[in-house]
Amino acid sequence: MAGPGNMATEIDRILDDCLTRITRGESVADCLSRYPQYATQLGPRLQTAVMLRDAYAFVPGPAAKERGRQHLQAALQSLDREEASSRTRRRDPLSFLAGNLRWVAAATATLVIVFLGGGSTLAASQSAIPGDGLYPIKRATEQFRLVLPRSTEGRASLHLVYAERRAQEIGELAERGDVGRLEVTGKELQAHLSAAADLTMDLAGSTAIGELRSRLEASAGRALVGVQARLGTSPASSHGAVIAIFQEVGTAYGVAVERFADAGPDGVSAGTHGTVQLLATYTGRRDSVLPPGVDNLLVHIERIEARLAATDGDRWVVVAQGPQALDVSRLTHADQFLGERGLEPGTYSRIRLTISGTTVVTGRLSQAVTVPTSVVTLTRPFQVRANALTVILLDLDTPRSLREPVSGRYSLAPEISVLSRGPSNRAAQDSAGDAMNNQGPKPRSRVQFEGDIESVADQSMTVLGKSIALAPGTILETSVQAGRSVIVEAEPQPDGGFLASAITLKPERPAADQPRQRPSVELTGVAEVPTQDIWIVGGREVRVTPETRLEGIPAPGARVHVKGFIEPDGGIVAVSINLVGPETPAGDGRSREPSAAQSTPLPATPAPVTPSPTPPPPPVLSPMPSPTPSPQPEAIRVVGTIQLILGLRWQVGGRNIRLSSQTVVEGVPAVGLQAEVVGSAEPDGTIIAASIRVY
Amino acid sequence: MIFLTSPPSQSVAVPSPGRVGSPMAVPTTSDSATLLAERRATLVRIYESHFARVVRYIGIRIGDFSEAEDLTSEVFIRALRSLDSYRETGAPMEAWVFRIAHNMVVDHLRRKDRRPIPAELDEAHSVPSSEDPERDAERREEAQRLHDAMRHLTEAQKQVLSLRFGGEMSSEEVAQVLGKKAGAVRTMQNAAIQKLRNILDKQGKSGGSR
Repeated sequence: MAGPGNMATEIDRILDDCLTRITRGESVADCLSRYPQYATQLGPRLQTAVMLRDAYAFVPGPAAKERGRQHLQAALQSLDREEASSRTRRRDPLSFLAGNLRWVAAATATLVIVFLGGGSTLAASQSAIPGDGLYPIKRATEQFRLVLPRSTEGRASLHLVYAERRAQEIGELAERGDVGRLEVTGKELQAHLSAAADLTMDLAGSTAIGELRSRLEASAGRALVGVQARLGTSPASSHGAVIAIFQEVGTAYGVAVERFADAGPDGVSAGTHGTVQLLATYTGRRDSVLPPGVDNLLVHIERIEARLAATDGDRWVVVAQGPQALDVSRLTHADQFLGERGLEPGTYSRIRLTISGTTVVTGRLSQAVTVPTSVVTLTRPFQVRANALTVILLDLDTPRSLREPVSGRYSLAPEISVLSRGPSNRAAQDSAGDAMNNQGPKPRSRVQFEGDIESVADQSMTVLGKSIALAPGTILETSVQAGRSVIVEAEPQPDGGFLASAITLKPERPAADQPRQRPSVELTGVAEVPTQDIWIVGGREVRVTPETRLEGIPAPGARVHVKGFIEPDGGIVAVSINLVGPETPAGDGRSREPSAAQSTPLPATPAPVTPSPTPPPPPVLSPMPSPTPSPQPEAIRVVGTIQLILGLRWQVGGRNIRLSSQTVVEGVPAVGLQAEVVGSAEPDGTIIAASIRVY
Repeated sequence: MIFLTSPPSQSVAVPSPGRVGSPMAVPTTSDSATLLAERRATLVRIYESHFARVVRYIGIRIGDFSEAEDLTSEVFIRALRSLDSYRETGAPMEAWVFRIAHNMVVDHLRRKDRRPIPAELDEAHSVPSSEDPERDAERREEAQRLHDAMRHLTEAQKQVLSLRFGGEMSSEEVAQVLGKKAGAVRTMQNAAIQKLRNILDKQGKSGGSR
């Protein structure tokens, strides 16, 4: 007979096949005829499946589909138009001109005049101001240059140049007292600055932003100084208008500077800071990331700092702040995001980690790990450049860091390699910086964030201070709400950002042990099991919880070793019960309660993995009536919760059950479900199951 | 403890723009345009072939099939506008569309500030009518009891059943949508159906056999 695990898988597969047939319209009878040996188990489920099929047999009306089709087609046409317009602007500037007849005429006139007047006409027009005869030529030339094919950065630069020209013209007009044309020219200046700022959105995150911003700031300075200088020479009658226009020009430049700053990397003032991104990684062998018996290692990091070598004195700067847990078990398939910060450009010599605690998880238990020092300093220089991204990877060598338990407690002596990638700004590369920084592994396709959702925007959310983009294809296993504790798997993007691929709820982790509040205890003795929750071991009452780890199959009457802790009421709660040996004629009831100084702190409350919503009923033990006395093993019936399934060895209602090739199992067995076992009891108390019915 | 490994002898190239990971040629504009056009055409085909399934899936989740029709239209619009973020992962595009549908359900329910409990079925559409009004009424009542029983399932179980029965997907396809293994999906659907069965038995109603 296949083991229960294999049987469960087989039933899953068969049910799946039947569900597929039923959704295609087959009847229950047809399915059961294919698997008659499973009819009892499958029948009720398939009837439920038929109910599901019928209940959800909704057919949308054709009108709804047509409406959706029209919306989709309209969206397709809209996208086609946008793309066609974009291609036209890129490839065929003359067609753009066709839509701007005024400037076509002006450009044509410009070409004619230039042809007739020679290059000197064009040159003379450059100094023209509004109202001058050659001014239209000047403007036509500008427009012509704007529509010629050029890069986004090029067009933005042109707009900045023309904005400064308008400012110069404003100064000239102010000096002339030409108030009428001042306002129009002021608006044209604002239009150029706005156009330049709009173009920076397409350049968001690139290094060109910094250069453009520098140019903008310089231009703003010249423009405002020039206008202010003309204020003094303007006629008194136009002072009011000139002052007003001066203020408008100042405001326009200020707004443009802000918009340029917004387009810089992560809102940090472009041109003055670089971005340092901290990731935890593991580059060793996956199968050795944690020692045998250890399921996870959590390193609780309070703060990460970097030491800046500055001319005015070295100092520590914070890169990541706030308690966060480095989850070592996840590092085998994704880097973990630890933090990101805009830092001053320069050379950083060291990295310092402040560790607030470390926890090792074995099974369902967690215990604190001894860490010799809470501050770990790593000497590893790296460069930060303006407008560039540097990725620092902390590679924790756990096989060498986590030491075997001494007196029952692990210790951690962190051995961390610091690797780095970057900077990402090609224009700012230099050989020395490259050699210093580019010593990291190839970037992984996944980075993991673990923390609370701090804020949610339309297409992004913030975790650990980092904005993470959300895509329609992001797998959401929980809704994205501020305050929710999540684990986010994300793909690094070229600009240093991240795109979420999956968001799940952060699992609750067992709290680290609290030493000295609950003394530990160990005892060895013969086990008696009056109820599934209370065992008597060596004469001491021991409480068995769903979290109690049973190693071996301790049978009532057998000799067991119990590890646990003492509750305030003096009772013992078992953390683990190990089978030591067969029953001894007289239980020795030996127990050891180490002194408080020697006790190994254990979790106060083991974390429940599958807490039962209602207390399971106590096992029912009822001997089957036997017509004649016989030396045969006693027939017995047990009803209780399935506590353990280990191949052919189960535990139900605190009783050890062994399956044989003749055992008939009805239902899908799983730990936590109720089951009725009928079989015969062996001398050691084990029940050889003749039948098991799972509810 | 302070420790430092010596850096590897060769430096690693800065990742080329446009793609993080192994270096690859940046696709030309014409390649990108062709790919985008192909994906749009695929999406349109999926709309024609899967519209009803997506409606059913959303309808089961939000408990309103009429609203599901409108939301389905939004799913495909959103998918169209996000085709540039679509990544070839080996799963068919249909799985990606259902993932978008799932996210839309989550957003919709969050906006509505409702728990994902199916409301009463739309009597006009939920159950195909036959020529036997009495039988139709029985089936509607069955369907309503089933909907009420669904409340007791976990979110993942509801998803699996919604995709299996509403989306008419195989367990392998459901696994691709949910990012799980097919075996895990089969186990989940078994447990979900068994749980529904237990609840319905307790209510004293067993499904009719066909």
